[in-house]
Amino acid sequence: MEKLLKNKKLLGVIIAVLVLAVAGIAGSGSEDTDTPTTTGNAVVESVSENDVSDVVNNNQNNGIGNNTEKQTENVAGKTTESYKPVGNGGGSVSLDNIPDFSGSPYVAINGNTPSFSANEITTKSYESYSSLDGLGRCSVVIACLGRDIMPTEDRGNIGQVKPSGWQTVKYDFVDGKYLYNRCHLIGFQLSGENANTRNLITGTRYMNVQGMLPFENMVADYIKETNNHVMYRVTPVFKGNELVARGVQIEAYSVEDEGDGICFNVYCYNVQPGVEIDYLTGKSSLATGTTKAPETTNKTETTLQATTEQTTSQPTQAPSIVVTTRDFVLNTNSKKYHTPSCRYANEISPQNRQEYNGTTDELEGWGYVPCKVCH
Amino acid sequence: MNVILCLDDNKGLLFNNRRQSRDKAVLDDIFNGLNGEKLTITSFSEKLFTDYCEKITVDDTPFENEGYVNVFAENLSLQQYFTKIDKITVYNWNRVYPCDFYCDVDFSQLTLIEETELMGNSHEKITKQIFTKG
Repeated sequence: MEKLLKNKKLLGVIIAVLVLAVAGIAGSGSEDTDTPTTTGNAVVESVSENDVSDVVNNNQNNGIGNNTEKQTENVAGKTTESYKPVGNGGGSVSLDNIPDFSGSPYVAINGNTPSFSANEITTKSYESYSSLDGLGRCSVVIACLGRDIMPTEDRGNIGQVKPSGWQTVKYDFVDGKYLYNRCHLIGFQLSGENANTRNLITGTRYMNVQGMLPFENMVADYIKETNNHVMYRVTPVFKGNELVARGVQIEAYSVEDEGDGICFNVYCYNVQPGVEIDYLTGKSSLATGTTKAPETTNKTETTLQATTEQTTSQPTQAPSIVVTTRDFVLNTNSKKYHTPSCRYANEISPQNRQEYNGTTDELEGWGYVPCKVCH
Repeated sequence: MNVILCLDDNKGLLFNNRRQSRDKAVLDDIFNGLNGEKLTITSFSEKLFTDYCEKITVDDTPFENEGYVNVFAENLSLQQYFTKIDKITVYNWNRVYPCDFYCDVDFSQLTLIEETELMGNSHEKITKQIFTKG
């Protein structure tokens, strides 16, 4: 009898451990994840960067990757290869593998083959946006694009959003004058996402219009024409603690026709010819050999004026309110901000120290709090 | 020979071995203008014309063979066959798409004789231009 009781106790402990383990697994999966909301057939959800990384890592081990199938076609008398993409769960790119900008706004990478894994590919429309990181930077966004999530109304105002590294500066020779646009990672014309802070980065006019927009146009028109779905992933690529992305990787794959209509994997350079950009802060200056000075510098502007532009990632209109910015020193670990002269600013370890020019609203919007000594 | 092309604003045709765009309204307009004549395409374009099988002929080297009147060209270099071309019909998407294969025709050697606009199925405005020699 005593042995039976012992066995029962042991069994109870085992069951309890199993229940806790299952609960723990379920809990860790939903941590930092907002509840998805459903609109019609489309699912819009937000996932943390870690969630996405987990998906990527799992996909890399699903045995599907690296099975790139090649087909040959004759184009313009040349034998070229087209690839039927099969996923290796990629979605990230190393700057070490990207050639220096040499005049083309984009470059094909990985043989123009996207890296969606089999279990990412679906015909059910959805969008998924990563949480901002500790520096307020966007990360990978992924969607299955379909007619049901494309916008039916004009784009609204996005001027209130200040992506990481945002600076308002104008150069005469830049199309539209403003160096930076609030660039949608998934273009507005594709998903109808307007002022979603997880979908907007600081991008040059050049990257926005010459780099990203042609791809968005191609995908949008394909979906409208065929009613098919397109898997679409955009990954902003940052170097170290820089606040402005060096570029974005865009991958796309049409689902119903298995990539026959849309299939690409490209990197768009976040550059502006004639301008040198400090990617750490977003500040800029004329490139060597360029003669025209910027019209305004070192100011952050808040736009309250609505824009009616049709395309996905257009710049805001002329600003109506101008707010002068200040220099701060950030502790990216404690999430406190200091004045440059604050004695605590000098005690921040180099790996946690970040200099920033902007406003307290921006910093507090990213979760930073003022140092009580200097503020 | 009448050559029919679909181009973006940069004279682009293809990206990553795929056509930049498509529109059912363009296909309908092409066949409306052929008056029952057949359209010659390459095998690259076959899937685009699955609804028009009885109206097409497939030949991967249409400029090296005789007898074709209307050729729809997506993946072909044209400049080398320029002497065989009498007319070029261009459907312009009025958009910029990604491109790695461009039309190599020098349109300055041609005369624009007609320009019309049509509303596309998925494109707001498509401009149709007809060029001839001389």
